[in-house]
Amino acid sequence: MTSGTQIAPTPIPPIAPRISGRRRLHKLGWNVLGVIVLVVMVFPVYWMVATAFKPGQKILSYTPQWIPTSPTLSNFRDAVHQPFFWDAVKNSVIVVTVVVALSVVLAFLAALALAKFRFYGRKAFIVLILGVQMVPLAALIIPLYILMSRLHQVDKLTGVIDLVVSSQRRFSPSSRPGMSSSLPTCSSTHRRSRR
Amino acid sequence: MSRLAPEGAALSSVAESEFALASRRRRRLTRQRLGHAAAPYALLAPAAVAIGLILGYPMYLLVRMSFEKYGLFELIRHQGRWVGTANYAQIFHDSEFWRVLLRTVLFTVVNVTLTMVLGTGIALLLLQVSRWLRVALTTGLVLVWSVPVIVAVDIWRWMVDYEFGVANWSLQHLHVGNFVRHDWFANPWTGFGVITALIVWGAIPFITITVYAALAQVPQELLEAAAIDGARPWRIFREVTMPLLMPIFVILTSLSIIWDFQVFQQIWVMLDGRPTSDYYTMAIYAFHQSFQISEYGLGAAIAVVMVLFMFGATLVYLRQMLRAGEIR
Repeated sequence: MTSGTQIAPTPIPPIAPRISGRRRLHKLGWNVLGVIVLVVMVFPVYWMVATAFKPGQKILSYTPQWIPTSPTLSNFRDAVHQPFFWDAVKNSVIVVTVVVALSVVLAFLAALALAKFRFYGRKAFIVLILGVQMVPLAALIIPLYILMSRLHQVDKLTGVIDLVVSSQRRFSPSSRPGMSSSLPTCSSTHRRSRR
Repeated sequence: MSRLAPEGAALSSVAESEFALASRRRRRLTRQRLGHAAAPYALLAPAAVAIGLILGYPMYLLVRMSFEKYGLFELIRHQGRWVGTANYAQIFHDSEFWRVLLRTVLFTVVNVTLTMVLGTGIALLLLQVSRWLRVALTTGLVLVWSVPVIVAVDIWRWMVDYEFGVANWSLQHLHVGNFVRHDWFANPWTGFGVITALIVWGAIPFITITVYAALAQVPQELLEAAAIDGARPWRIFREVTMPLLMPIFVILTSLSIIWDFQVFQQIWVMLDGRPTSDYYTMAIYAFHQSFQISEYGLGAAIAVVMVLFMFGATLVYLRQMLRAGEIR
């Protein structure tokens, strides 16, 4: 009944209930599919979390335990008390802070230039950004190592690599959607404003 | 440049009409114009310097090394011996190289196709499902997105473990076949199947969320107009939505090609750092030549070929992308 009132303004009321029924069935079908996709996508993450809370002999059992019935924090306790655990955390925090700060600034400035200005060499720079990503990092390790050892910067190697890779990967896609999304809207608003 | 044109044109017409003030105004004008012209370069400079220093110079070293005999001895001396194109000649005469190249191309095609089709499919699905499910799905995708590659590889390795893996147990109990102590990596085809599943799973969130964001930008009027004209949903998607999303698809596809062509960590970690030659892709092959048999010059040459190959493969896309960007 409520759906009938919902689509009351439709020009041909007699068919309305049938359409709404079919539409609801459609919706149900899409939702079932959506739930399946959700379960499949999230399962690996769930499995990681579930395993983390299981005691050792439950992890190594031939019949998988789908839900940890006797959850334990002992795995976390062991992990935290591993030698060098906190050193690793400290290194990660330092690298992340520096890399994020630097790449946000660099990427923001560059994205601003690419999105807001038309200038000579703009295309070349976009190609360069995409080109940069084609360079396999594994292949650059030796030359990077040589370069860094000359600059006595071997310790900061990972941070520097991450900086470049992550900043490049972030700003090329993010500057594009704005560009293309303005394609249809821009032309239509132009037309409208001209009239 | 074209964006600044209207403003510049207006100012110059004013300058023409009032001749007396012309010279002073013109000077200020040029300074302003210069400032406008220099701004994008100033904004780009930091990024350009970073790329140049951290990637440009090592790239130069890489290309130079590819023309040199560069083994352990040369590494210690920090000085290679020029051998011209010998490294390249050696690669091209090696049947292993061509096998690896073919395998990498096949692997890339399968991965990119699956990623794009499934990613776009889920993005379209997001438009159809109820609100609560849309929120749940988006959250789930972001969750998957936030899993670091190495962790993801470990999870999947654990799921397909030959003894305690949840995959073997499930398939066994679904009566798909005998999966007791089934080793997925004994056969490179099933091994690559697992790796493909892992990579596609990890890549879907980025594709889906980007395509979904782009779908939200498609003007509703166009879709309604097409529906009123009697177009079926599939036709609307193909002839209205697709062309509008083309620039996004082009960039996503070329990025996926680039990422999948040089896959390294997933294969390397999945096989415990000891992949057999059946599992060599270009990146692993280059790494093997460089670090396991200490022929850095040879490894560099493979890397250069790899970059050129990728550039060739994405050239069509690059051109299309630039053209799409120019419409504006």
